Amino acid sequence: MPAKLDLYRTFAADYVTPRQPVLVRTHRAQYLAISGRGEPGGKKFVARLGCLYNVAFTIKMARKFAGRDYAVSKLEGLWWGRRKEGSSFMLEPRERWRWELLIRTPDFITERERQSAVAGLLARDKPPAVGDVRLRRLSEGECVQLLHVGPYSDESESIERMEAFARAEGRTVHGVHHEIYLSDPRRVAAARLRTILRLPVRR
Amino acid sequence: MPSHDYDVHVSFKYIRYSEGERHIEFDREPSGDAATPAIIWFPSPKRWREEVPDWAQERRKEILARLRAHVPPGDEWQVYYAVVDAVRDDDLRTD
Repeated sequence: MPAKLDLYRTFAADYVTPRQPVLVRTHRAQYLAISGRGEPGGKKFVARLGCLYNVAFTIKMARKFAGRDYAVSKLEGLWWGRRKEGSSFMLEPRERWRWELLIRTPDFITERERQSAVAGLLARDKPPAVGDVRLRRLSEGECVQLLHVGPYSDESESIERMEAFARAEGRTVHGVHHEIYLSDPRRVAAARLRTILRLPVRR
Repeated sequence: MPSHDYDVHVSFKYIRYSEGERHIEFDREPSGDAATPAIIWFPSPKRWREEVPDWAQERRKEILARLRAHVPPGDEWQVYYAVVDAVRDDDLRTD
């Protein structure tokens, strides 16, 4: 069997991040994505997250069978509110938060494979919302990024540091707040959760 | 009669079966929350022979039985084919 492709390792420069803010130039990437609105961890959130994993693994297993295996990448999320840019959504009630959950997916995965996976899942009585999982590309370019260690509820302080760093570097935030989840909150204590926070910026 | 010391590590997205320095990994599809079972993707007998190393070639049922003793009891098992379809129950029998 050939070595398994792991995008997290292939594009390590996109993910290796210290606990202090840094500027990074991220690669354009393809994702499987599903969007929604409401409280993180709420009923709708977990149902749609399950749909995202359903489609991601169905496509991956078909590729593995075909002899081109790859690792399903870590969960990522875009978060926003009334304003699409920056972190002001955190000041809004959580039930109004908008989100898009993402799993980075190799560029060779096609729309036809997505459609085939969805059809197969619907035939196995999976929720109709599996059909809401889309393939999309994201080009964030230059970003401020840091590794946040601790509960998600403590992210505000880290984000303030990122925004101050961006200003000091002559940049302004111009994109959607992006999180990359390195830890499983079901298995890791909140104080030890590791999350990459990313804010697209421009001069 | 099984005679090898072994270990089973259940991670978020994979299960690793180990005997000393040698191991095999199986994909585990997480669910959206802890209350919903995960799915363990397992090779069919034919596929097993194509994927696993020599030391495990003739031991599919033995290893499957060992895995089943360690994974969360609610987890679902899914055999994968070229086109993923319904589980073929016979492919997961260990008796």
